[in-house]
Amino acid sequence: MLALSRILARRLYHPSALEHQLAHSFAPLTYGPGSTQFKVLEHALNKHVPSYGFNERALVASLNDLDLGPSLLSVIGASNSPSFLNASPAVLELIKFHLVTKRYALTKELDPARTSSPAEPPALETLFHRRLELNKPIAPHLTQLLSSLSIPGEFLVQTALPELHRLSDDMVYFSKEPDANDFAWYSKRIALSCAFVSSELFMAQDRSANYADTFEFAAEKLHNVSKLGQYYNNTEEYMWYTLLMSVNLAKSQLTRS
Amino acid sequence: MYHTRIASGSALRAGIMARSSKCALLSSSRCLHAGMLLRKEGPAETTHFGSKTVAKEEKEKLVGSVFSNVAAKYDVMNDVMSMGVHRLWKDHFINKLDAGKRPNSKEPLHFIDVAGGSGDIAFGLLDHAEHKFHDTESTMHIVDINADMLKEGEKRALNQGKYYNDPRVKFLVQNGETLDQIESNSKDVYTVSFGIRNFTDIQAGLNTAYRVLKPGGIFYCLEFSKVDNPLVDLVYQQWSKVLPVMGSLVANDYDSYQYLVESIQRFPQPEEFKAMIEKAGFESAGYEKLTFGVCAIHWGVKV
Repeated sequence: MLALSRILARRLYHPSALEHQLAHSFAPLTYGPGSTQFKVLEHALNKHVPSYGFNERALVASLNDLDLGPSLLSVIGASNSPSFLNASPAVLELIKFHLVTKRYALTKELDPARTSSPAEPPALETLFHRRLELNKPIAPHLTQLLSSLSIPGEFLVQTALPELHRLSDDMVYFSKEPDANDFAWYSKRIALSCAFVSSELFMAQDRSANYADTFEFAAEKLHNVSKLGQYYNNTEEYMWYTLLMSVNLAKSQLTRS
Repeated sequence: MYHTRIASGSALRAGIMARSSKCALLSSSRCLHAGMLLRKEGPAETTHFGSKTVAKEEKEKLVGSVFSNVAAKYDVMNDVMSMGVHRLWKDHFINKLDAGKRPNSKEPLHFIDVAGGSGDIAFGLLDHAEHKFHDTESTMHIVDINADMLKEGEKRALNQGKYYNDPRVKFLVQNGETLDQIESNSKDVYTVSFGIRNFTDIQAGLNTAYRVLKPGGIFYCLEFSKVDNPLVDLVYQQWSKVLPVMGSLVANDYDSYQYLVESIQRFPQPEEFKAMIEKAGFESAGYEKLTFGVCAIHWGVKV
């Protein structure tokens, strides 16, 4: 429980802008784009995951393609522990790699730390849509991916949930979406995370041409999020109004007596 | 017999009784049992043996005696001392490493288990590879500087009717710091569990690990570490005081278990040990603490 709160606190403690300006490459991965692990995982994700899915077969096929030995599987999986369903640590790393690299790909053009001329911030909907687009090649294996991500255990707490929240945070931060500095900061991100997971779940079952239904579903979900935001703001405004009015009423009554 | 007192606040109370009469030609071995950490201190070549400072030539013999004493009671004492948890640690170590030739891989793996005399990690790794990946090709070198511990492993292989006289498994008496019979760039997986603590020169051991591994090979180490929770640490410290007493009851050997406790106290902090792994040339080094930090798994990759 303590570990969970610590992990969440690292990201959600405060909307810190500085955090986005650190020149880190692909954190929380422990290896950079030049490393063997990165090359193998990237190769597997692009070449073999679309056909084999997120499993060891895809990784071994990449190792064979790149002429590397099976000890690399232990190397790749070193920072993970097997879950109680005994998922391979190397496969968990492949999943982590997918989440992290796709998140970075989403904001590559927008991040002043990684590009000299950052593009204009797009709308939140555009980023959301773009992130779902990145799922297209692996869409037939989304069910498998989402079930691996939701197995209760260390991986869920240390990787799956923090990565989801980092994604929502990035989507808000790098879009032109107005950000709040009160409790709405949290509610917006949680609502966005929920919308994203449900869109992914929808995509896993979607058989429409070019996932048109998924994007329609996602747009509606996002619309609901912004509607929820409006309700939130209206309620907040009304509560303030009522509070101030009550104070003023009390004051006026006290003055009269 | 003689006594020394330790000055360091964090170390356990002293009262080490070194029995030089028992010195044998034996040194480090995988074991939860005694050990020492050598540190060069000043111009005189001295080092730590538990909390005692001894001359450098002496300590290899001292550790040797410890391991010869405990070899026969190795399993029973490990269970008693860790309340059986050492089996979980070793299981986790093997499952986390998850090594073995996959059905569609081209090459088998070449393992080396250093200070692995008792054979539990080595046999565990081979069993894991066989049960999970149907790998019956990968090879294993079990090396230990202590011939008595190595005999225990061979005895175990003979009793279980597996890995004895097996062309895949070789038992070798070797010093982990030099591994002079092991070729450079010849191994895929280097494991050492509860052994590196007893090396005379830990850095030399790590450098040798780097030498024998192929590029892409992995160094994997299970070793005692530091407990970070103060409450658990309090309990752990009390437990440490009881260990030598249990050693004298079960294995009739107080001193060896006293060394164990002190060598654990002397082992570097996880961050420090990680830095040593990186200094040897390994990359992507990391560690995972087990059971509040009583143990830690360290790893590094040869690129």
